[in-house]
This record gives sequence, C-alpha cells and structure tokens, in this order.
Amino acid sequence: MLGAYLPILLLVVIAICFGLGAMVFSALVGPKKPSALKLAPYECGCEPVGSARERFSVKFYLIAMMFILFDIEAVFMYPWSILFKKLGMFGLVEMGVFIAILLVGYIYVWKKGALEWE
Amino acid sequence: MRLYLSFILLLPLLGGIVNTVAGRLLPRRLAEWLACTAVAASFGFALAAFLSYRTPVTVELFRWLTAFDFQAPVALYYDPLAAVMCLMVTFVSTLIHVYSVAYMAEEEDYARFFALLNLFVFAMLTLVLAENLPLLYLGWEGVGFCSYALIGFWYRDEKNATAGRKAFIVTRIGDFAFGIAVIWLFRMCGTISITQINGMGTAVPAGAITLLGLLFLVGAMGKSAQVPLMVWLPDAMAGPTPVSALIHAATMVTAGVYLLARMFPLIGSSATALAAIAVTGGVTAFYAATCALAQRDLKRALAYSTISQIGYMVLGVGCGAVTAATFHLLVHAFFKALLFLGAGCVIAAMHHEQDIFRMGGLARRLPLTFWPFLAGSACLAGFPFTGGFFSKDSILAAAWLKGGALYGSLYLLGMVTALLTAIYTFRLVYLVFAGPPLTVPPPLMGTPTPTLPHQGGGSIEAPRLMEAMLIPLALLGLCGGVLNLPAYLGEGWLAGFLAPVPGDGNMEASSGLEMVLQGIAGVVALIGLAIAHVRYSGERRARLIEAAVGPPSAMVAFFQNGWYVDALYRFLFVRPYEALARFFWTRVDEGVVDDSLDRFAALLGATGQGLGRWTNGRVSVYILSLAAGAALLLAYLAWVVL
Amino acid sequence: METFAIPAINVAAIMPETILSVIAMALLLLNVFVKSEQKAYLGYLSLIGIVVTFVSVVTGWNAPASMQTAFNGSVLQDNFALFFKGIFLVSSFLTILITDQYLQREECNHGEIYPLILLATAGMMLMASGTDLMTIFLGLEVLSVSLYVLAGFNRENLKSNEAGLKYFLLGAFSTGFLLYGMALTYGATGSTKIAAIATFIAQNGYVTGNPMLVVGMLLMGVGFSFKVAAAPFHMWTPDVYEGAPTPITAFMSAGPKAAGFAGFLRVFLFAVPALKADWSALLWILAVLTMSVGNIIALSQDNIKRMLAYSSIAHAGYALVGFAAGNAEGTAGILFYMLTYAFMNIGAFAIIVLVGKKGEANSNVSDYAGFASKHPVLAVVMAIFLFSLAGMPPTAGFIGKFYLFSAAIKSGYVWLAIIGVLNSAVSVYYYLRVMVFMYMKAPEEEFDWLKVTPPIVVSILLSLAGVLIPGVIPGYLLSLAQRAISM
Repeated sequence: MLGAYLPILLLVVIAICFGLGAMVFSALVGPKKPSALKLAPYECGCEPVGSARERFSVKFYLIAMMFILFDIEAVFMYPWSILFKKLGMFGLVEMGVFIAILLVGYIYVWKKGALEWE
Repeated sequence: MRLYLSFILLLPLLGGIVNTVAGRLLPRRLAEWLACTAVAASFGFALAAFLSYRTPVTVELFRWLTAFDFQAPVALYYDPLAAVMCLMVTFVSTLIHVYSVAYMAEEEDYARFFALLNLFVFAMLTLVLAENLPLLYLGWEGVGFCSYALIGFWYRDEKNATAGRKAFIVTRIGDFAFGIAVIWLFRMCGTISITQINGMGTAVPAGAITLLGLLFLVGAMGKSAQVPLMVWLPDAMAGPTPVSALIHAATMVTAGVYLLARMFPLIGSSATALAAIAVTGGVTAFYAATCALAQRDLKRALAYSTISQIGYMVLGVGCGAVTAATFHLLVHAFFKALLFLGAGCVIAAMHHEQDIFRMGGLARRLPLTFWPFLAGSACLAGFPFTGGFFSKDSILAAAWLKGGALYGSLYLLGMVTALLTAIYTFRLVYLVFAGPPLTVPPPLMGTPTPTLPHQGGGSIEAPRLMEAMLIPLALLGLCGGVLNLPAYLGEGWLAGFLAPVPGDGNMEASSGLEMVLQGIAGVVALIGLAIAHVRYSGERRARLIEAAVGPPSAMVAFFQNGWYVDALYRFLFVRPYEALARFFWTRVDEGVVDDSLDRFAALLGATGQGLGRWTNGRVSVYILSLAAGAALLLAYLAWVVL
Repeated sequence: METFAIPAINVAAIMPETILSVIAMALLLLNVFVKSEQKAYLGYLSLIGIVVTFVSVVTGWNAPASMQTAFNGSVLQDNFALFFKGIFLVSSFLTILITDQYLQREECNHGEIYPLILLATAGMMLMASGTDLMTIFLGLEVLSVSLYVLAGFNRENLKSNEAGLKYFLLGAFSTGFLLYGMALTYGATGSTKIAAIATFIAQNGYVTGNPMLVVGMLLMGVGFSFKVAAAPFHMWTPDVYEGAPTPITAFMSAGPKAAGFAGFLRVFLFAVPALKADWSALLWILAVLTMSVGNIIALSQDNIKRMLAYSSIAHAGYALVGFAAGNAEGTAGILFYMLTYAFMNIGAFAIIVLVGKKGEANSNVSDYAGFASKHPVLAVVMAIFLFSLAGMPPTAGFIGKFYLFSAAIKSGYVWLAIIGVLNSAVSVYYYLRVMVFMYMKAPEEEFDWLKVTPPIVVSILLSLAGVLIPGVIPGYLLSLAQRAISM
C-alpha cells in the first residue's frame, strides 16, 4: 500500500537534493569578489533608498484580495460550464446564487469606495 | 380538586409574598385586608375541597427536579386526615388573622408580621397536604422558621430574640432525627411518597420500623414540645399573643402529632415504638400539668397546659387511637386558641400585664372576654359534655382498653393529670376573673412596682373585634363533642370520616364501659373544680396573693421553673457545648482552619499571579504553549494507549 | 462515465442558516446606503431576523427524520443541533441588544457589526448541525473569520487591533491542528462522515495498532479545545477578551464557546464513542487543568473583562467535567449549562458596557467602588449574575454545576467532581470581590455618564429571567436538554 507513495517520496528526495545541491555547489564553485554594489539588495535595478521594512498602503492588499475573490469566481465557472447540460436547471440556479452572493460583496466594496485608488 | 388544593396553598403564599415585598408600601388597611382575605379565601377553598371530597386523591402540581433517580415532585395528598386538618388550620388562622388586626393595631412593623403569619399558614398547609416526606419536611422547616421569626418578633428586646433562637435550636434536635428518618426511608424503600411508604408495611424489617418510629417520635418531640424537648415552648410565649394562639397552641405544635398519625400505618406495627410514644405522651401530660399549677404568668400557664394537652394526643397515638388523637387535636385547637385569644384580650386590657396575681375581678369588667374564656376553661378542664370532655375521654378510654400494666398505669397517670388540669384551669379563672380588683399589687420578684392601670385610672377594655373572634371558637369548643359522639349517643361522625385513615385501633368499648369511664372523668373534673374553688376563692385567695410577695416555697418554685429542666440542660448540655464550641472556635477554627486557609489562599493568589505572567502577550509564547500542550497530550496518549 | 446524481436538497434542514445568511447579506447591502446615525436600525432589523430564525428553529423541533438530513447526510438538524441553535440565537440576540450603545460610546458606529454577528451565528449553526467533518470545518471557519473581524472591530483602539490580530494568528494555527486531525481521521477511516466513521470503528474494532486514528482524534481534540478555550490551549482568551469590544467579548464567551462544544460533542460522542475510554481520560486532564488554571489566574486579575475571560476558561472546564463523564446527564448538563451561561455572562457584560467609558476605560474591578450606592438596582442585577457565575442557588449557575458534577459522580469520577467543587469555591473569591467593591467601598465617581437605554434594559431583563427562572424551576429546561440528546 505504501508502495503507491514511492514516487512522491522520490520527488521529495529529489527536490531536497536539488535545492541543497544548487546552494552547496554555487557556494563551492562560484567565485567570490564582493563589492559594495554587489552586496546591496536587489531592487529592480533601482538605487536602494531607506529601509526595506516599509509599510505598504493597505490598498495593495485590498486589490490583491479582491482580485483573488473574483478570480476564484471565474475559476469556479469552468467546471460548471463543462457539466452544464448534466446539471441543468439545478446548476443554473446554484450558480446564480453563487454569483448573487459575490455580487452583494461587489456592490459593498464599490459603495465603500474600495475600488478607488485615491 | 387540583384547583382547590392549589388555591388553598397558593393564596397564603401569595399574601405572604406580596406583604414581604410591598407590604411596607401599601396602606396599612390594605396590607391587613390582604393578609386576612388570603387566609379567609384559603379557608373557603378548604371548605370547597372538603365538600367535594370523595376518595383520597394525590395531586401532582409540578415536578421540581426530574432528571435524576431522585424525583422531587411537588405532590399533594388529600385524605380525610388532611381534610380536617386543612379545615381547622385555615379556619383558626382566619380568626386569628382578624384578631391580629386589632391586637397589633399599634405595631409599626405590621407588614413583617402579616407576611410571616401568611407564610406560616402556607408552610403549615404544605406540611398537612404533603404527599411525600421531603415536601412535608419543607413545610415542617417552614413552620419552624416562621415560628422562630415570630417568637422573636420584637427582636429589639434581647430576651425575645433569645427565646426565638432557643425554640429554633431545640426543635432542630427533633428535626434532625426526622431528617435522618426521611433519608433512611428513601434509602430503604427507594421512594419518598408517604402513601407508598405506608403501603410497604411488612416489607420493611421490624427492627427498622421500631427505630424509624423512635426517630419520628424524636421529631415529634421537638416540634410538639414533648418531654424531654419541651423547654422551648414556655419561652416561646415571648411572641405576640396571636402568634402564641396560632402557632404555639393550635397548629404548629400539633404537627408532631400529625406526623405520627400520618406515619401510623408504618410505625403502628411496632409495639415498642408505640409504647415509647405512649409513655412520652403520658409523662409529658403529667409533667406539664404540674408545672402549669404554679405559673404566675398567664401565657406561660397556658403554654404548659398546651404541652400537657399535646401529651394527651401523643398518648392517644401511642394507644393506637389515631382518631381519638385527631379528635382531641381539633377540639384542642379550638379551645386553646380561644383561651390564648382570651388571654390576649385580658393582656391588652391590662396594658400588657401578664402576672395573674396582679389581676382579678375582671369578670364584670370584661364580660365578653370572660364568658368565652370560661367556656374554653370548661373544655380544657374536661367538664362533662364539652368538646374537651369527649375528646380527652376517648384517649383515656383507648389507654384503658389497651390494658396491661403499662397502659393501665398510663391511664391512671392520665386521670391524675386530668384532675390537675381541672385545678390549674380554674385557678386561672379564679385568679384572673373572680374576686375583687387588687388593691395592693405585690411585685413580681425583683421587678419594680408600677401602678396598675385599673388603679391609675387607665381604662380596662379589650377591642371589640378581638372579643368577637372568641365567640365562634367558644361555640366550636363547647360543641366540638358533636364531631365524634360516643357510640351510645349516636354515630361518631369523625370516626366514620376518618375511617379510611388506616391503622386505627379497632377496639370498640361497650357503651356501658364507656359510660363508666366517662363518668369517672366527669367526676374527676368536678373534683378539680372543687379543689380550685376551695383554694382560690374568697379569703384564701387574698392570703395567697399576699403570701406571693415573698419568695415561693421550694415546691412551688420547683414547679414554676418547670422542674428546673432548663437549669439541668444548661448544666448538662449547654455549658459543655459552649466550652467545646469555644475550644473549636479559638483553637481549631482560628488556629488551624482559618490559618491554613489564609496561607492556602495566599499561595493560590501567588500562583495565579505567576501563571498570569505566562499569558504575557507574546504570540510566540502562545503558539509555543499551544504546540507544547498538543505534544504533551500526544505523549500521554502514546504512553497510555499505544 | 459515472452517472452523476444530484444529492437531495432539503432546504428545511438548513433553514435557520439560510435565513440568517440572507438577512446578513441584505443588511450588508443596506449598510452602505444608510447614514451613520441610523445604523441602530440595522440592529433592530437583525433582531427581527434572529426572531424569525428562532421561529424556524422552534418549528424544526422533533421534525421527522427525513426532514432533518440534507446534502447527502452532511447536515443533520436534529434536536441536539436545534438546542444549540437556540443557544446561539439567544446569545446573538442579547449581544445585539447591547451593541448599539457601545458603538455610540466608542464612536465606531459601523453597521457591519450586525451582519458579522449574524454570519458568525450562521457559522455556529452549521457547526452544530454538521455531521460531516467538512461541514463542521466549514461552519467553524465561517464563525472564526467573522470573529477575527469582530474582535478587531474597534479600529481606533490599539487593544482591539491587537485582539483581532492575535485571535487570527492563533486561530489559524489551531485550525491547522483541527484540519490535520480531520485529515488523519479521514485517512484512517476512509470517510469524513461522522456516521461512516463510527460504523468503520465499530466494524473493524478499535485497534491500538491504528495510531493514525488516535492521533487524528487527538488533533481534532486540540482544535476544539482551542475553540472552547480549554487549558493549555487557552492562551489567546485573556488578550482577545480584554481587547475585543465588550459586547463582542460577551458574544464570544457565550456563542462560539457553545459552538465549540457542539462540534466537540458531535465528533467525540457520535464518531468515536468506541474510543471513549481514551478520550475520557484525556478530557479528565483537560477539565482539571482548565478549571484550575482559569480560576487561579482569575484570582489576581484587576481588569474585569480579563477576569471574566479567565472565568470563562474556568466555565469551559466545568462543562468539560460533564463531557468527561460521557453520559447522558453530562451531555444534557453541557447543553443546559451553555444556555444558562449565555444568559448570565452576557447579562454581566451588559452591566460592564454600561459602566465602561470611551476607549474601554473604567473597566477595572476597582472602578466599581460604591456602584451600589449610586445605582442600587443595577448593582443588585450585577450581583445576581455574579452569584450565578459563582454557582450559588437559587440561580441557574447552581443547577447547571450541580447537574454537571453529579453526572461526573454518576460516571465514577468522584475526584473530578471534588476538584470541580473546590474550584468553584475558589471562584467565589473573585466574583465576590466585585461585589465587595460595589457594596462596601465608598464611591469614587458619580457614575453620571451611565445611560440606561431600552435595548440594554431588555437584554438585562431577558438575562435575569434566564438566570432566575431555570434556577428555581429547572425541570422544564432540563427535560428539554435531555430530549435534545436522546435520539
């Protein structure tokens, strides 16, 4: 019975080996010539300014969260559309309820002004 | 029936609650009216229940706790015994409530008084109607509490409060035995229903029945002031007179007799228990009669007479004559309430003077009190053809019929007591009502001499309302005999009605024998009257009163102080108990218990603070302890299970 | 291709949840169109919604078996579930009654609080009627997510923020335990349906060689223990209860705790009864730890909300005593206790809401000094609630404890009952301390900011009735609780 899990075990072992191997190998083989520029944190090629531990505006999070919500809504429709004929009226109503619930949330965030950037 | 019974109970309770909660806010008239109406209506329902009575019924009002093996339903049982008791209690209570309105007219704290009085009626009715022992016990304790609170009603006087406490503590001894009996019965029979327990009969081992009978007897001793637990009742006279009449003469003190009658089917099969009951009753009757002979306080004399009469009832139960005992209980309730209420009129008229040696000649001044009082006295003394005569005689006849050395001597003792009863009763009548009004008031030992009201020009009269209440009681006392006429005069109604009450002795005296016995009793009563007449009228009365200024003779003092039983108990029990209590208080309680508890509490507090620091606000610590807890539980499971 | 059968949809079985959710969403929509000073109307609307839901709960009582199940046996609205739903509705009703005044005082009058409470209640209900581990989990998450937001609802208050965040972090952590336990149980038995799990165990016998099941059970136990705040998983309680808005604290200590017990009981009594010997022993330990830790730490608390938080831990311990007993009396006792606890605790919190000042000020025990001389009626009411919490007759708290402890004795756990009684003796100290301050200290303040509004009066009166009536005549409620567990 446990034999069925053997590929998973193998995958885990390989993943660990690969990760460790890459780190160890680069540490052993790579040349090390540190300079101030090289040691600076990488930030899209820009000049690093101030501390990295800054507070981000909550708007980013809001947008991200709402993106996920509506994204999932879309994802949910795929299996439904595949089984649309089989599910028939029942499926249609269920999906309607689902979308209606999300719609309520949509109206709420809209009216609350969460969709406006400024 | 269910409706009637619930209302019988509910109305006094309601009255009591309203008066407790809002009594002081209500106008005085309304509070009084409420209390009286509640009881009077309760009497009405008792009457209705009585009239519609067919067979004994059990009514379950509601269940209090149902979920366990132990069921505690609030169930009532209405049988002839309960019926007559209900009628008597509500009737007498109604009269006394009305009487109290006049008696307590100057009392400020009327709401508390009427609330307690109503609650007392409720508790007493619960006791009477209870179908199971816990409920009966509830009523039993309820009347005990109300009695305590009413004895100490004028609690600002230390003496009254002490009397209340004494009553409570002494009866508690009896309650304790009763409580043991209840629990034991539940353990043994698995039920608490009185009817079921009484139905068990032979299923209960004989030895256990005897012991149970004795336990119930001790319970009855406490509540009904029987030897040796009788010391509280004379002191209980510290309460207001209506209270003495209702609780300490008519109703509560007879609860012990009622209990014995209730449980008679069970305990009646034990000859030993019955003999113990009979002896207790006989000795008590005699003891209290001797004490009553020498009392100077009107109410104390009546109190001793109550003890003595209850002794008769207990003797009746001990002879197996439950009907006779119940009969005497009813008649006694009427005439003793009457006597107390009469005494209350006298006391009120004399402006709270209770020493009979300082009264006299009141027959002409208080005729409306005098005649009913005389009727009551005739009943108490057992004058032929009064209620008291028939009831007392039926008990003595039962003792005679039982025969044997024990019951024979008890019969003789009863006869002697009857003689004494007649003497002390008419001693009271002569001293209070006959003779000239006193001119030289002899001081009651040690007290300063106040001017007597009827010399200082104060008026002597009792409120009409109070006197009016005496009349129905007098009629009932006098004619009470009709309730249960001896066989030769017709059918005994009460005996017929009470017939379903099981366990009554089936001894029927022949009419001839009964007549002879009653003849003897009548003659004894007359002899008593003659003796009282010789000793307490005219010349001898005056000399007696003069002599009373000095210290009483040894024998008089002996009787007056109730055979010094109080002192004996003080020496035997109270002192050692107090010493023990002091020891436990200072050494054990303060030294060991309190101290260790203090230390333990301090320890707990410190532990709490220490543990409280564990919750320091760091989420990491929280998560760590959460995980650690899970790990510990896992480890435990691994240890135990795997 | 497999034929696909749509499971029978029985809306009657999820009627209460449906009603509440729909109303919650409607309120959410309404909320954005309503002016700030009119938010109280949302509260009244939600009260109406709760009453309607309650009616549907009452009509569902003793419904025929076919009407009870839905969604392929994932939901079972039996009397057990309905009793718990009653408890949840009572606690949310009482909570909403005291919410408005609090929000006005704290000047954070956001209408979202009402839909959130309703959604939390719906989640609790789903938890109580779930007979599939997944349904229970779903309910739990709906409840928890709503509660995380509610705990941090007072946005301007740092402590409230802290409470929300801490609750979220620790709750997520404990949810992990619960889910992992469910997964292991599924792995061991092959089903997430409680009935199927029970059948599996009954058929295969309980084998000690099945550690996966045991560990799964244990981890679920840890998850639920966290929800009911049993030691040693109680750490979040004091901080969260202290920081959360007072009405929400009241709500959390009554509703979600009961919900935790509903799930706990459902899983342990119905799914793994065969393992009773093991989990009884575990619960024994949990109960003793919970009672003792709660009571002992409560002794040294000064903040009344924090004190009641520890007291709420202790009360969970008492309920665990009944759970450890594992018999019908114990289970019925938990139901009875949770209901009456909702009344007494929310009642006490209603007074705390009244006494508190803006910014959660004035919530120390010493702030109650002389309260009785200024507001005698409120002080008496508070005293009654505290007496009930301490378990004094004639209050419901006494009957509940009596019932739980006697259940333990009946199961032979005499020592557990003794420890319980000792613990409640300890607890009397800190409850009485409040009364000492109320009655025996001179007032330091005038308490003139106190504003007794009708909703709070209603809440207090209902709580009083819920504490005193079952305290004097417990028979009816007890038999109701008993019928709820006999199926």
